[in-house]
Amino acid sequence: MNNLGVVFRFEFMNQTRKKAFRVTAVIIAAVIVFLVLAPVLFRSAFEGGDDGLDGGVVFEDQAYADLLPFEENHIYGTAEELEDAVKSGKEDIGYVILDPTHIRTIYSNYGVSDEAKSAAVVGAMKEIYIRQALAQQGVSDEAYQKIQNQEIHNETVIYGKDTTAQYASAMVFVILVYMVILVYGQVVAAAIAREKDSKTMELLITTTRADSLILGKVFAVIAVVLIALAVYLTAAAVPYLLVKDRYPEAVKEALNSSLNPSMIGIYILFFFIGLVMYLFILAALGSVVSRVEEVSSSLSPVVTMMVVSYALSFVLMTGVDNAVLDGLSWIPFFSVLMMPIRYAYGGIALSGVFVSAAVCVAFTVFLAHVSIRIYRWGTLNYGNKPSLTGVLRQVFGKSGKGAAV
Amino acid sequence: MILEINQIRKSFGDREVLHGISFRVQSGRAMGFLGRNGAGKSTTFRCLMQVFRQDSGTFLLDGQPFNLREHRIGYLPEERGMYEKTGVKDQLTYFGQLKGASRKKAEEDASFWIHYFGLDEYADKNLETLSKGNQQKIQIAQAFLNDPDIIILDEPFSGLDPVNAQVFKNVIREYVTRGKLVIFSSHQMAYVEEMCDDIALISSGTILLSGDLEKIREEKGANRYYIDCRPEAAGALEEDLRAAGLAFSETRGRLITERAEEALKAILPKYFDDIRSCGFYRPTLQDIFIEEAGEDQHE
Repeated sequence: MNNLGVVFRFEFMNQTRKKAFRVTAVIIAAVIVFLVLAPVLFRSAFEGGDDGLDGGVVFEDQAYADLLPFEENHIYGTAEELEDAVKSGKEDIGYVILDPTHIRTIYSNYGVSDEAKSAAVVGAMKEIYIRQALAQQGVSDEAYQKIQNQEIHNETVIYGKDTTAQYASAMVFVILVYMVILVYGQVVAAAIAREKDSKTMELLITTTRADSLILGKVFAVIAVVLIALAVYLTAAAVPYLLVKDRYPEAVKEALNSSLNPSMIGIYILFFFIGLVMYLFILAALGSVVSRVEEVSSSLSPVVTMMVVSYALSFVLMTGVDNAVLDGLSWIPFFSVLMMPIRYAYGGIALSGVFVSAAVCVAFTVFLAHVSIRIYRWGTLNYGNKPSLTGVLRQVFGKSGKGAAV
Repeated sequence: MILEINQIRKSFGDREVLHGISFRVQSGRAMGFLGRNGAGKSTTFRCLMQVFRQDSGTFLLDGQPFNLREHRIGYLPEERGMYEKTGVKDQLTYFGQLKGASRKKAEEDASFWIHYFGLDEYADKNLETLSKGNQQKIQIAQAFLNDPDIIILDEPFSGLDPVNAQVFKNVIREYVTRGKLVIFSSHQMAYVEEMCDDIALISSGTILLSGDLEKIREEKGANRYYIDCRPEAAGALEEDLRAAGLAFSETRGRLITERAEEALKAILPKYFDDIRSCGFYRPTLQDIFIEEAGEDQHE
């Protein structure tokens, strides 16, 4: 594999020279900087807003005007004025407060968030009604407040892990692995298909061993991923270090509880195993097709597998404990996403995670071997796309064994 | 160096495309590998370049099994192709490195060949921006990177205009003069006849003849006589030859017959005004090709 370094350098330079790579990196880095600064820029949103109610309102009984915290300029004199304001789009939502137990709600359009808005008004009205009803029965407002504010002492004992803090990091892991594999897997597959399409492959395999060619490509893409991640990490770390002291307390607490060093180590381990494994699979698929345009259809079975794996990981994040999911999590195609989630949610011991990682590494080595053979076989195989079993039969059959790797 | 191709057989599925072909190539002598499309030239080269392995037979270089990785080889495949969206110099440098040159040497080599083919202004341009002819030159240039000792060119003249073909012929001549082992396939007889010292003629996966081109021409012309006569008199002349018991054939408007001196001295004077030329027969490569492979296979 004396040309591995040459292939690696060429492929790496080809990828990093692409304008698309640079522009994408800059855009994503800018988005990350914005997200990191968001808790400072939008501090009030992270600290919780005021207790005001949204929308326009008409009070049939003015006694409630002081009890419900609507803004002054959203209070209308008549129901007709309010209806006109809603119809004209000045207000998204309007309330006609008839009495403590009757409200009429008017919507411009009805969306998912509108239910929460009206629920806040309904809740506030119910609170007013309870206080008034209790006052009529001789219970003072202070007594009611005292009852309401009574703290319930709940002593929590967790024998396993507090997985509530893991949700955010688990979600970031699953989305990151999914996106990186799909985007960069496509890059590897397309690069190989392009070499076949342009008939460059025959020149390559007569000067260089197939293992150098395919490993060089895969390693180059991994290096590109590392560069991209380093850029993104820098884009996150620099503004974070500059403004972290100005973060709202709630955000600081959330970050401290979700950034668990051992968990991050597991995520990084499975991220790279998954990336390498899928890159070899996608590289093999790229060598089966004859033209670049055929790449996306060729990749669809693997993409489907990734989507299933992605969906199952989210199911695991809900805390479901299921034997079928446990079983699937041991299959390498799925385990790269599912096993870290199972560990994060306390579904498996650390030793089990390492066994799974070892299985994945062994499987990846096997896949690399198969991928190299398919690549070598696919060099001069043009025309109709063969079936997977057809490819494997030929790769490991007489004609395939004849080819020098 | 002597490259021996010994009893090479190759099948694809149930169809055998090379039926135990054998010939030899010697360094310092250009070898032309002739045959029509589909005769088995590219398959032979691909077996030699280990793109796929032959079912049986051996390739020997100076008596030892030929190992691709142990020699500097320049190869121009029939299917032309390089990276369309990569700079000309960058990819020539890359291919030079893949052939074992250091980065510095590969860069120098790339610059040399770009200059040789008069493409300096395109050195930093992507290949796809060049005309087809100039792309062809770059593909030819890659075969000569890292000063190869063995040069294998599959249909190198295909698609070249006369000017570029001349430039390319000069390169091949230079490498042959320097004692390199050069073999190229073609179905264009004129180029092979002009360039080659040795030929191997393949038809339907079988070598029909191989060896020194001059000797082959002498052998094929031995004891044969050609008569180039006006078409109006050809019928009568053929009748006389037949009457004298001389076998004859017609090739490209000329009658080829036995060199029976007495009989010819008696017949030919009768056609003094009709014969444009006549003499000892010395077949052209095209004549040999037609005779061996059959007129129906000639392109």
